[in-house]
Amino acid sequence: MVGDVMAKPLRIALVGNPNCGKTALFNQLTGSRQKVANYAGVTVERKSGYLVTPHGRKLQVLDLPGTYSLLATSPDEAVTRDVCMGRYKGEPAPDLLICVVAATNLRLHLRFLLELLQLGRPLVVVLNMVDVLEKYGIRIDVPRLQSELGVPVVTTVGVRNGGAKNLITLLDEMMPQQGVLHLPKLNSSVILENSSCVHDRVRKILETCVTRDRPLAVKLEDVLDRWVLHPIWGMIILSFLLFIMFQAVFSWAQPFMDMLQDSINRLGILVSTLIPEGPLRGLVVDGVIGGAGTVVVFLPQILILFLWILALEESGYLPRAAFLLDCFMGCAGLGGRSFIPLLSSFACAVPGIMATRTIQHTRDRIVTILIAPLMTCSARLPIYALLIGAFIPNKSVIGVFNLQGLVLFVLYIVGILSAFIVARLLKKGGEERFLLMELPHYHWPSLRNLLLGLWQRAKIFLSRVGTIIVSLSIILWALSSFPAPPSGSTGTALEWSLAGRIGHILVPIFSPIGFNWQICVALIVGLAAREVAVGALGTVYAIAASENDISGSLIPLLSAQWGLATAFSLLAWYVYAPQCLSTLAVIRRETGSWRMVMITVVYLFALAYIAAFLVYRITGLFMG
Amino acid sequence: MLQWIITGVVVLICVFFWFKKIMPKGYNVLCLKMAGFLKRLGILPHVQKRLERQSLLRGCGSCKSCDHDCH
Amino acid sequence: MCFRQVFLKKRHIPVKLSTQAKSLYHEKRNEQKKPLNTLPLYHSGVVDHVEALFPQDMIAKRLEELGFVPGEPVKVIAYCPLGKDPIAVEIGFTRFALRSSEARRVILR
Repeated sequence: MVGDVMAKPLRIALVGNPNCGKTALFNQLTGSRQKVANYAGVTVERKSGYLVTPHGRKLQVLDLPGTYSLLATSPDEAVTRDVCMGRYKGEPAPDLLICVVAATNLRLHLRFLLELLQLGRPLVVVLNMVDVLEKYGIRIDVPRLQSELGVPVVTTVGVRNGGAKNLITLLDEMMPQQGVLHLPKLNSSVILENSSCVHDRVRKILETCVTRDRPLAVKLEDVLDRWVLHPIWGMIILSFLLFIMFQAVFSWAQPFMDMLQDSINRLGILVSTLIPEGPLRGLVVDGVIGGAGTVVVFLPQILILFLWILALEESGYLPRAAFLLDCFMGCAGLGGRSFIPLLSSFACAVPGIMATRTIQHTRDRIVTILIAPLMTCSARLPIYALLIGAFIPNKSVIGVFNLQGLVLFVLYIVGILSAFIVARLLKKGGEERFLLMELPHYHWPSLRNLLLGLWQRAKIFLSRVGTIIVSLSIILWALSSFPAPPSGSTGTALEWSLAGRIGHILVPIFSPIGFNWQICVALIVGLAAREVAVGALGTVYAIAASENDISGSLIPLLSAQWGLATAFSLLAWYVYAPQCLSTLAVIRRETGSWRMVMITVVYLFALAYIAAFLVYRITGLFMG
Repeated sequence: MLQWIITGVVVLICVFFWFKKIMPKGYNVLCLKMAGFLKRLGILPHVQKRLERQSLLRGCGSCKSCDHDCH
Repeated sequence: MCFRQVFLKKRHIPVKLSTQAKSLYHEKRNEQKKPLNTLPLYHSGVVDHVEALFPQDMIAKRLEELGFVPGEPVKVIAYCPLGKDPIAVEIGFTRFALRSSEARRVILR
């Protein structure tokens, strides 16, 4: 039957099983012309973009969440089902469905395709990953497959540049001059009743259309999985990979961070020569450049961490890591699916908490969200680096380990252990937890996808800096500079300002844990974003941002003025303190309730205060 | 003098930005009142129009797509 | 004459079975199909059916959809470091990680 569908512009939707390479194909089609938002009412990501064909036709492309079946078991799958059937409120049915199947795994993916065909909507089949077929010695008779299924079938290679050419050509052909969609006339598919019927049909199709040139080759998975999933070797490999990842984040990023810090300092000096003396100079140099500049310096670290996580994800390794850790996670009362969100939280809790969407079990998801802030995020690093640099001597322990590095490692472990304890305490009952996770085939992560992912991350980070952090820095600069001190007064300008007065008011609350008023001011400032606290301490100790690296000159000052107990207490505080409005905002968004946010704030503050108190008193005892 | 004006305006804009984020409904009311105030004084018609448009906006603008009912 | 020992509250109470009962017992044993979570490492089996543990068992339905259908060969490729939960299996050309409780639903021939 010839279907004519009016399109203006045409809306096509990519749908398929998880791990069929749909996302890579989507990237091929839309490049950077994509946008990520939310479906109304649920926390499911809506990925859309557009593509322009060689004939100049504009198409809107939607990347639907991967699903195994139209019988949905999670919110993601429910959205896909509803959009495909055209019954999602606010989202009109797509004009054309593009079902992506992995040519390497037709046995699994054909089933869903047959299910989709029964919807009777305009559909095109894309056989993805055909480049891998040769290696396995498999050949697929595409014309035969096309006649069996009754819909057009094209082949693509999602990870190769230009690999989507066949699909784009087909889309062009289907839309001649008038811009109307023509589906070629083909047989209609058989109505399928139950699952064994479907599987029989799948088997029949496979028998007729797929042939093997040579006997089943040993797959990469067979060889690798013997080691990767091995109870002992697997854990060793995992620890090794994680260790390298942390090393990379701290040491590889250093030269880039130094470069960035240098340029920002220079910018500060340049600007202060351009703007004449007055409040505007202070606003721009100390407020904007000093405040936002301190944060931008962390971009290299965040990018490297994401690079690792994306690479591991693309290669197919992460689900295997989740498998290995599932039993350990079980001790904390969580499932293996919590591993990936918690790992991402080491870079920044915001994407980590967003990644909890893949956890179907509500309670597990909430517990994971609650403990994600305990994973030492990269924003805590400047504080740790500052305090460790000022108070821990640069010695080596047992000849090999650096004492400073060791203390940093201990801080991380404390965060992780606390998270496990909290999760354990929140555990309730022995409800059945869904695991049923696919371990995808291994393949080399595509450079293109990695770069695209990093670019998106960088954009999000920079826009957050540009809006939230810049505006906050300006407000806090204003609070810290006015009212100006009367002439002839002692103490820094900060003490007389509004921020200073607030700091002094807070001192009685915080003096039991050893914080002086300068720290209190920095804490207020650090509420917006933890990183800003370092800049605030610099301002507090009256060092201009444009003179050298703040941390450099701050260190000797701190080690002279603060006691060891105060420093340790601040470290302990920072392991737990919920001082990041963006994290709280994303918790609100993902859980949909203010109650969760309140609970997070209260329990983290309580932990922070108790930990800081204990550390302060105990260190005080030791010091005498 | 100019510096003070620019600085003051910039700081005010930032304060409004955060006010909108934290209390969007209050922000709408504030914009409406300010637009009315400017109308009575009869100055800055452009600013007046923009404030009126701002007072009609819903939501805090933190998420790209929501029902604008979270706060 | 063979004895079958029955452990009853940590005391050995040997029980003598009649020949009828004995043959019934052997028949049952041969008929007994093992669930997937008892399959040893690197061993293969053939799926007989998927058993729902309770009505409206979504997990059983999902297992069927994923390819755990009668006649399909399945192989255990890994066990978790601490004990047997979860396990990783290969069915068709796909590999899955399953909980013991999920694997128990898959009965083998």
